Amino acid sequence: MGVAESWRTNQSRYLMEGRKCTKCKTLYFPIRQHCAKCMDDSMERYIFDTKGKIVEFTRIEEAPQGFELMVPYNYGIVELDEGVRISCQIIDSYSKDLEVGMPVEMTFRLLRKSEDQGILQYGFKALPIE
Amino acid sequence: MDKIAIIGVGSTDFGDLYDKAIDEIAVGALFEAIKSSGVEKEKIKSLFIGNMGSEIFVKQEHLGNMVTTLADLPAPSFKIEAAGASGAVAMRTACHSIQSGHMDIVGVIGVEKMTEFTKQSETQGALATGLDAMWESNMGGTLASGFAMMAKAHMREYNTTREQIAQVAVKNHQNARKNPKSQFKINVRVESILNSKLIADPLRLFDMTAACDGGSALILASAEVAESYDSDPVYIHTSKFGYAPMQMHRRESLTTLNGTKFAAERAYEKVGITAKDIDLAEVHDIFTIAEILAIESLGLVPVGEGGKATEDGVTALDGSIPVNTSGGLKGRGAPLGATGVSQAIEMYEQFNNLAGERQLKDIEWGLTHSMGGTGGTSVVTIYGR
Ligand SMILES: [Zn+2]
Repeated sequence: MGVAESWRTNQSRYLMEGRKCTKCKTLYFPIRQHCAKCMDDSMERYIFDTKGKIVEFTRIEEAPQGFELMVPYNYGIVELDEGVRISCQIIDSYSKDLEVGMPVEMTFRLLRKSEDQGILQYGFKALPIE
Repeated sequence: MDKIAIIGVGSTDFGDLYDKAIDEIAVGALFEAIKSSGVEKEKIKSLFIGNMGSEIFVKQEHLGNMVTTLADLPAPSFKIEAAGASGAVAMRTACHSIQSGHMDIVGVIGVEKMTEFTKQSETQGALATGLDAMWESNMGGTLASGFAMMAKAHMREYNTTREQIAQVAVKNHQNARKNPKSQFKINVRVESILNSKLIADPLRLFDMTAACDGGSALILASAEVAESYDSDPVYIHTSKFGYAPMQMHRRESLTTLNGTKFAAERAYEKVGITAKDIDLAEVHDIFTIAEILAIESLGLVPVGEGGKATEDGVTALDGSIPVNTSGGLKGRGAPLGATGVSQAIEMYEQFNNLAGERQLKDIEWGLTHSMGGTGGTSVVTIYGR
């Protein structure tokens, strides 16, 4: 990931910031310029709630570059309370203790160090909550 | 659509072709196809090259020009990319070029050179470029993790067992042993699959396809022109495209390949048949679980029964609907851009009684299914006389 790309996506990765179409009220995550339904750019800032639930997950044992030192790690699909879904790591838990439907809270963590430009890339990971 | 004749086929071996560069692999397959067709090289009006990742795997773009240069064939030529579906999309686009009336004979090449990396993480990273780079790969996701979640969802919803999923690999390797051009001519047992290294739970090393080099090529022609080269050609009757959101988290279902279902329904409708009329199918078994989802989404077996059907031998060489008689991506090999094209070659060989020990009898309709990424792109093609 390059410097410009990192900068461009920071708000979504740091703050769970998305967009809401002012015309049709559709919610989007991550930030995007145009509503896919209205094809209009009248979008307003929307900060997603940090709570959600696990839709599906897996334990990754063979990781791509930049994630090798985290292996094994849990990764899955999370549905936020607003109904929008995202993919992310699920942390501080053993996969045997995770279940589909389990409530999680998005938390701010280091994702990885980019290999080419050395950027420390931060973002959200899901933390199971009781 | 007017049907399009396959008048020639060619393929390199699939495997670690360390002594051949990507353009040599492509041209090797192309020349074999041209020779098998009897067409003079100069009559080929254009080359459509399916390739997923020449830039990532071997740092080479402008592939169309590179291949025509080595082939000494001054025809329009360009690369078509749709991840694992690149070859199938190239073939489909080539059909359209003939149907447009602008061309009568064209070449299709599917090619991939994947074995230059030295680290497994590099291969995983390259494969992950078929996913959303920022919002899947960059969050730690891999191609394997996508299919692993499909497997978990299918096991939970339909009580599909780990053994049933493994049986896909057992079957496809058995078929691959009967295909001289296969990457893996080995017998694999369920136990060895279940004891292989975990990649993304529940999928293991032997559930995956391996990095592989290889090229496959077809010479396609309009029905009118085909007659002078082949009195009874195998035809592509239709090829349909199906879309699903790129990101797994945006899909409505993890157990149905909705793009595949969409493409299949339209393909059957176009030809005027149903899934029951299909006599053999080559499907995109990039992971074992993908074949189970594919045969269900194509309507070849009832939804939820893909695992059981595989276990019961329904999709075996002697089953009621043989699937991946070539060995599939799993056994024959998965040079990604080549896979969609090599599926068509299996159809050509089966219809023309050239499939040797794999030969099926009395076939009327064949189907191929190719996918990009975790199923965002699907192409379903139907073959017959
Ligand atoms: Zn809107």
